[in-house]
Amino acid sequence: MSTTTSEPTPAPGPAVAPQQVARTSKGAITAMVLAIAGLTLAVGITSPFAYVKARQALREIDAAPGRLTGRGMAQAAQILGIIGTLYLLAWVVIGFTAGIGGVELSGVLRTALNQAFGPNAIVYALAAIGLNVHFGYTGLLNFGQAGFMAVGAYGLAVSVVTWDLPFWLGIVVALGAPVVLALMLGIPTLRLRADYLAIATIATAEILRLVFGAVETKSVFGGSNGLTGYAGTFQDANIFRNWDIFTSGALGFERLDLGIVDFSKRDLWSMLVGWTLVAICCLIVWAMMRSPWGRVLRSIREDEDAVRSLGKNVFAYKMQALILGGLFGGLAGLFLALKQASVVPSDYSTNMTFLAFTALLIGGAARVGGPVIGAMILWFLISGLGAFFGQATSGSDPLVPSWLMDNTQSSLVRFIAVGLGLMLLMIFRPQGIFGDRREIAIDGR
Amino acid sequence: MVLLAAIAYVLLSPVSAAHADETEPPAPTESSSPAPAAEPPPDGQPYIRVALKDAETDAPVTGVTLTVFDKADDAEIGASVTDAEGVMIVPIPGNGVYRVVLDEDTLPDGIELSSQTSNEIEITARFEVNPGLFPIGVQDVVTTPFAERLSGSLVSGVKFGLLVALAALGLSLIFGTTGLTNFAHGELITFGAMVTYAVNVGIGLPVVLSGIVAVLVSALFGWAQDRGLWRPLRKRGTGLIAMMIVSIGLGLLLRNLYQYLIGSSRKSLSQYVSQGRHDFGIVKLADKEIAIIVIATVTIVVTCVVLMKTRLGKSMRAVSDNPALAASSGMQVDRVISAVWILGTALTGLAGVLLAVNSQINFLMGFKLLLLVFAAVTLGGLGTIWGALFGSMVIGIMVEVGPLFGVPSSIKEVGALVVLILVLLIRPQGILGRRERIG
Repeated sequence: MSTTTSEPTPAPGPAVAPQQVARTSKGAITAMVLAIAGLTLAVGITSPFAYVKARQALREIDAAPGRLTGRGMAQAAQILGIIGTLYLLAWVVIGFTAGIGGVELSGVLRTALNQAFGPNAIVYALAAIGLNVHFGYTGLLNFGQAGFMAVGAYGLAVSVVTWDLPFWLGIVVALGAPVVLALMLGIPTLRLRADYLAIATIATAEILRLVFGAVETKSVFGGSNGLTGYAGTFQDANIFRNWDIFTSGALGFERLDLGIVDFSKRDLWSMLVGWTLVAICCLIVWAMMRSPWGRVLRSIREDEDAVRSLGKNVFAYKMQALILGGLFGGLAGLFLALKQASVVPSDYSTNMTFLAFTALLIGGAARVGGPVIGAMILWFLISGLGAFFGQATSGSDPLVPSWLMDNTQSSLVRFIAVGLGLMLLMIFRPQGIFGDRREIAIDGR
Repeated sequence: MVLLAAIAYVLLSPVSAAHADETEPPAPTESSSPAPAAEPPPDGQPYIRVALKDAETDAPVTGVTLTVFDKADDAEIGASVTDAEGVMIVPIPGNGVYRVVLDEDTLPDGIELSSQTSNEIEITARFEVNPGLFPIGVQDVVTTPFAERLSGSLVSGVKFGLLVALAALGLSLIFGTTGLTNFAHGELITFGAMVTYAVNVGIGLPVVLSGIVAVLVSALFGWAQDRGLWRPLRKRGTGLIAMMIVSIGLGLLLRNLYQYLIGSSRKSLSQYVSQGRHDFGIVKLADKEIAIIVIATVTIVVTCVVLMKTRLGKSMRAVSDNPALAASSGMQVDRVISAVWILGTALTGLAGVLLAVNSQINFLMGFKLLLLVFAAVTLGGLGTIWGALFGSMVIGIMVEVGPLFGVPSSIKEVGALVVLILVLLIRPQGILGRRERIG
């Protein structure tokens, strides 16, 4: 590699650029740091990034000869990045075949994929689809989605258990309750500024959760233990009940083993119903958002006053969006109630709203499929991290020393990571994976 | 061999009264044991108390660790060590079946459990929320006059209001100057309490010194947060809603980090855990409660004077009114915002310290308070100092006095949240706020 020839020499002639002080390329330094970190601390995890960063830095340096130095460093970082990536690949291969320090990566991957396609992801996908209508398309900052989910779930449970109504009537109540909540919440609050709306909705969701869990309302809502015994009709309708495709898995539960994923009969039935619901909801959102009605919603997100000056009733449109999104939220709650056959007030906490928001932002707001992909990725990461650290801290000789992390603490790492991830996502890529930066209502007040 | 009998009984506060200790000390179930001396938690929570006595000499057994678990999900509710009277108290969240486990390793030398005594007992806590009913197993209870209960509730409302006010001042200052609706503000309260706990129990400094250290560390944390996170975001031109979501992520991260560090049980400081209350005629207050009220009041007054009279306060108000104009008049906006973060987090950290002294430390303590702080700030008017103070006092008194007028005490916070929503609907600028602030 002849570096001397590539040194820029001020060419004789009139076109001499003003003398600039050459500085070392920042990209090259970053790449070098990542490469060294990958080889020493991070088991090669940062090495692929080092390689990519080094290539970018090389292009930048070549594009601006004389102004940026550090070509040698970038090249070194590129080579170290390749070595580190191979190192990482070796670990992955060993991890899948033999396991590292008691952690079997295939088991971790299995758990993660199970959850990414399982009923939990469906709940969050439905909730995030609702938030997408609110926040992604209309720009309404609803931090009370857990409240909509709670009234959906309790709508069914209370009608069937407390009022002794038939199951189908319970479903009707469960779908009516979020609409009523949206009307009650929307009429007064939709005039408020974004952050006030956020506080008002978060407070409403908390009020609902506290009232549902209170001792005083135990005869209706079942107190902190919640309600059970309403989902019989749903479970009896399970079409997989008599299918002969299940093998006896761990603890004697019958499971369908598909190699890398396995599901129980109940989960499979929940998934069939749930993913159908998700598909229908996505179809509705897709159809409505390409209609003139959807275009008005988007314009409200961009500039409310402009829409008003065109003679549109902004309040009515916002209300319709709140109802539609709330209905999806209620559906999420209803589905959660059906799949776990119990409603417990502590499930519908503010954290649930925040996680649904995270799912939406991962996939990308104002995109039909964004919330669905986001929920799957979120659950893949949450359960994958949980399984990894759970395994890494159990056994007699855990991979992670017990003074650093014990088995109880290991379940918290994933939520620390979610918090950190949400911050980084919002700072560096607010549009998520599929979103368009111009379509995110994050700059307004 | 010395035998030991474990006597455990549950004392539950009557829900209609704001304070468990406003009623006469209830006669314990086992009439043989003398009236207990340890004070129940002052915030009117139900609790489990255990008295350990040597069966032969009838002397109290001290220094024994007992842990209370929720039987339903086996979650640890809390642990405590028996004091000089052989008594320990663990607050419980409410009705349910609890398991109390005695750690036999912590029994003093020469004492062991008798062969008939298990080191585990189950306690069923059941109480109706009916003003007429009193703690199970309690006889001869004299009802406290309503006036006395009201004055007691008022005083604890004022105390709670002052604690909320400290946090609300912090929130209001930061919101006023930067426009950030900080959903991680509750975690700043917990931060103060956590640092106090770490310095007090971990290093062993007295509580007062630990509190001072905690306030200083909180201020440093605020400065670092602004420098490391919020200032770069402002420089990037990140929108306010994006920053709000970033603060949600930060809150999630910090909450789980706290739980990672101290676990999910409640922790107590080494001093002032259970203090006797002095009778001041109409109210009864423990020394630490008086100290909390005095410290909070003095801090709030000093802060207000600083904001009103000094140059720094003036520039803070100028920046909060119009940052661009302030910058063009030669003020260094970034330095003013730094100062606001330092002051705001120090105040909030102090709220956490005082809360820790008042009751206990838990990783969720700040998050639980967050909406009440929001309610207080909005009620008074976002971004105004007097509004935050006024709103906090109203919320504090409302939460504490409400149960006396029929608000179910298990959901006493609901009233404050309803007020929050009503204020947002009727007068979004708050009672003392100005119209232009709501934009």
